Amino acid sequence: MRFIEWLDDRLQIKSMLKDLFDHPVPKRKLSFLDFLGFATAFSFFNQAFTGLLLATVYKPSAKEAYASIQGIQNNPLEHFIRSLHFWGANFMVVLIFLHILRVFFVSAYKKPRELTWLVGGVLLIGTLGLAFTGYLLPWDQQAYWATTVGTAIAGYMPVIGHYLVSLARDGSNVTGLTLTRFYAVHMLLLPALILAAFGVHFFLVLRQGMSFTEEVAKAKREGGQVRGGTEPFWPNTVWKMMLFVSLVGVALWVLALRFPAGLGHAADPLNKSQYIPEPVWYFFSIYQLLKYFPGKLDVIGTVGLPLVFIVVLFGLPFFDRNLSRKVKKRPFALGTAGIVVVAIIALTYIGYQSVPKAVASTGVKAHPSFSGDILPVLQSSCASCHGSSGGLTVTSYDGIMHTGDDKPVVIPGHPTSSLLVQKLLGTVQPQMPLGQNPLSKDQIQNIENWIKDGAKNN
Amino acid sequence: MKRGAIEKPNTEKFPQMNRRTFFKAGIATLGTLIGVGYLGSALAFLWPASARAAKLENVGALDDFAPETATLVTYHASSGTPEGVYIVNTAGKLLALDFHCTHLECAINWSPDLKQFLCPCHGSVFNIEGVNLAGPAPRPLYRRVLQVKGERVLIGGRII
Repeated sequence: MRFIEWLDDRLQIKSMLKDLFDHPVPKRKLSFLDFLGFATAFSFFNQAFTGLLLATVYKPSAKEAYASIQGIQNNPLEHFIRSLHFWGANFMVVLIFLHILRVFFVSAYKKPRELTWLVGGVLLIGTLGLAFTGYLLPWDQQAYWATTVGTAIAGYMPVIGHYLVSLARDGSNVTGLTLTRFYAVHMLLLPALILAAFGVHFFLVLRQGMSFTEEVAKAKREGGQVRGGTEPFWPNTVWKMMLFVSLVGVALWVLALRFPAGLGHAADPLNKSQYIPEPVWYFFSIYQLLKYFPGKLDVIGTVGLPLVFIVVLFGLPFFDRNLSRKVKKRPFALGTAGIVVVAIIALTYIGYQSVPKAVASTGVKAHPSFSGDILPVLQSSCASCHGSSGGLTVTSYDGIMHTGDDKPVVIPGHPTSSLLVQKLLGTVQPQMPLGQNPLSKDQIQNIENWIKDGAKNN
Repeated sequence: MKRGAIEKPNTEKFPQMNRRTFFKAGIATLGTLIGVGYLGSALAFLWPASARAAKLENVGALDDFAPETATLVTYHASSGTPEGVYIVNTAGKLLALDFHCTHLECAINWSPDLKQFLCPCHGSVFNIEGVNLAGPAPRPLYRRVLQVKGERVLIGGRII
């Protein structure tokens, strides 16, 4: 390699590369989980690459954004690049969280790697910022209303809340000005921040080596050998890393090909179709959590918990004075983290279940079954209010038959005198679902037929 | 004093200050001022215009707004993106209410039967004047500037 020689003559890169890459790694401890950070970096470069291509065809204005995405959707190659960008965003969020969990589990944030952890915190916030700002750019209904709700949350911050919201939106509502602002943040500010932080993060990792390599140094000091032997970081470990990242890349491509990114109806700030926003899946846990803090306690969920998260994230290497890296000696740290992870998964699942989903029309059935035809409709259209509050509970057979302020709402055999039907038809006001489009004629007819049949739990 | 002799600096008054430290302090101050200048102008650049100062826009004639009901009109001035505003005619006066729920800003719907605004997201309820009656909404609906000029009804930016 004459070029390397030429470069080395001028920059002495050989000694630098040797410092960074030439160290032994304990074979026994190596796990593909140690490559999650590298995989996160890969997904960022996927975003940068596909984002750059998309930027050449996307038009960042409220008048043209949606049409330009439609154009992208209609061109197979452009659509595929957008799908890669869409799935890459999901990958990046998932991988960075898994990476953080892994680093936490193996105590790699402890001395001397506190700075690496802190810079990683900046990378996490930058990643979530990219996900949030990128969500608005297609300018469809979901983008518009999820951003309206998402930015509204900042308004709960005491004193400065209103300023934060109008600073984010460039005005009191989400408008074309917001789109331009988010575009600049998504395209310039956050990528620059992430690149800078990533540079520092990556340098620190190479400089200090991964935390488990310390075992080798310790063994060397004591004149012994690491149990299970070692392998050189370059080339052995690096090639394993490349294999793992390639597999992640293949998964990304397969998902992008198999499940292309979609596009909803154009953003309608007047919401004539009465669209009800729902958050992107990684915010489902917060979305569900907010439901447990009714009324004035909202501020706990909207401001308090995110603040606690940030304090814990950036304070962790300093709060956690326990120097041990053994799992058994860290019951509190690992126990707490375990509970938080389980809670997030559970909340995401419950939140996902509670989102009103479009129920496929089954047409009118003469003898509909409760579990097959009635309960799904009630759950999708009524349970967001009549789930745990709102008097009547519609999430189970017993609930429908035996709860409510005006119970019974179902009189078996008599659909027209059942309050449930009267409310759905609007013959008793207010018509349900409150403030939304009525159920379809088919759906109401099925409920009537089911009551006529004796309102059985079938 | 002889001609041509160099006057000694007055070190009694500023014992720490010689030429070198003076220049260092001066350069640091200049650098800080430039930094603050960039930061300050960035903030001023990004700061949104005052909502109250938004342009007034004609949304209809007095007769368009029947008593004791709410009418959805559109406001465009600030950005070209339509913004929904309910004009309410109640108790002999006109109000301009922003059509976003004050909980998480979903779009509310006017129910003519109930004479209330209902939010489809978490069930907040507001009366015709926009006062929050039920649900998680923490405050009344935001109002916007409203002026009547002759027969014309004009609305402007949001009043926080």
